[in-house]
Amino acid sequence: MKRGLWVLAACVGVATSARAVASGAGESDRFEKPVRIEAGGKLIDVEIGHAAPWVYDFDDDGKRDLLVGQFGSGKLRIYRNEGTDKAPKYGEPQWFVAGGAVATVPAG
Amino acid sequence: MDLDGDGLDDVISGSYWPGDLFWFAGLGEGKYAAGEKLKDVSGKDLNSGGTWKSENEPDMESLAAAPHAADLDGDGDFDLLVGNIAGHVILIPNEGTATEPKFTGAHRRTIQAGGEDLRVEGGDAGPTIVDWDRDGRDDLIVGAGNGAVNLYRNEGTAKEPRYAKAVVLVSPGANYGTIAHGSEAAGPGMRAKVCATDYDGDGQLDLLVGDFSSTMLPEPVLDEAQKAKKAELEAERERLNGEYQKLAEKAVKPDDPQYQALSEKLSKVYQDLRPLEAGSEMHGWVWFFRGKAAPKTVQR
Repeated sequence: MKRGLWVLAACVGVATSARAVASGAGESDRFEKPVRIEAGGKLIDVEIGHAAPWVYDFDDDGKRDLLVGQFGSGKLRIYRNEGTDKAPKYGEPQWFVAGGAVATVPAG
Repeated sequence: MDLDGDGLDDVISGSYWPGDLFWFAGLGEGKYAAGEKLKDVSGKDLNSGGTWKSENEPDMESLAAAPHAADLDGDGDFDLLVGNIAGHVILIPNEGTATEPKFTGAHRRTIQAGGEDLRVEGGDAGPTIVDWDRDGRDDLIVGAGNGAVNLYRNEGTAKEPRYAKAVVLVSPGANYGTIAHGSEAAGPGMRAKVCATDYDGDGQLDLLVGDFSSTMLPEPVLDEAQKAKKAELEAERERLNGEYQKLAEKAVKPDDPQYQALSEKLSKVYQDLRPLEAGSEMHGWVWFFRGKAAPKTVQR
């Protein structure tokens, strides 16, 4: 119940401050128009949102992989790079495993 | 990132409630140890909270911890930068060594930018460290609760960073990250979490931005009685939210029974409204912002 109270209060705060906002595009002189990264032929879309990406050669094969944290059960996805560093390509993710089990952190 | 300097990379993570920090030690050959909470030298759980409190009383500021490990004082070991729900970025210096990290919660400090406490709009700070302008000094980039991504250039040194005020790299998300039925998202929604890297190996730094967005489902078709009921419930919701806001403005404590009573009424209203309103689906996408080459300055 406490968590519900806090989230509601936070939402009230955000609604007041984020009134007049522009679109979510980056400064057009710095970046190209943003695109969403795909894996296995569809958009990467994590459970209960809150995607947290990190690039790192997880399997030590000389190619950088994509790690994406999610809110759902506090798990972490590993997308192995099946392409190259210049043209990354991902299939289905595997969950990050630690201590012999799928790793989780408290998600409330 | 090798937190304990044993030659094997580790994984660290934050968490939502109460905002503890976790360390998964690398064991080699792709294996990792079970997660352990990072601890203060006194043995208490480490977090980013504004006021140091006991384990049984989590400081509300420390929720939604988002850590990044980097050497921020040039002494060769990993310090911790932790974004939190209040939108602050807290530095917890490593007062040990590269092989024996030691963190003291009481020595936390709030990162400043442009001479005042850094605070991102919409809370939920997600910091990362990278030399963005390639001047040999690491800068600070922070994702914000409203979906924006800000750059804070280091105008100091590697041993004593001094961050300038924010330069917006990615504007806030439109409409609190809610996408109308039938529309497509144009960019990140809310709660931006960022990785700054040369993603496509072209020599330019890019941004990967994870987000939280919602897409609306179609509106249900209602008869006159249902429309009247919906209007009544919406008015009640508005009234109860107004009372909730008044309590918050009077800084009534979160465990006050007035909140509990209001919360129960609100829950019932939301429940009754649900079948009469369009539902929504939650999403968390990863947006790739490909960096353009900086325009060349003209030599006169």
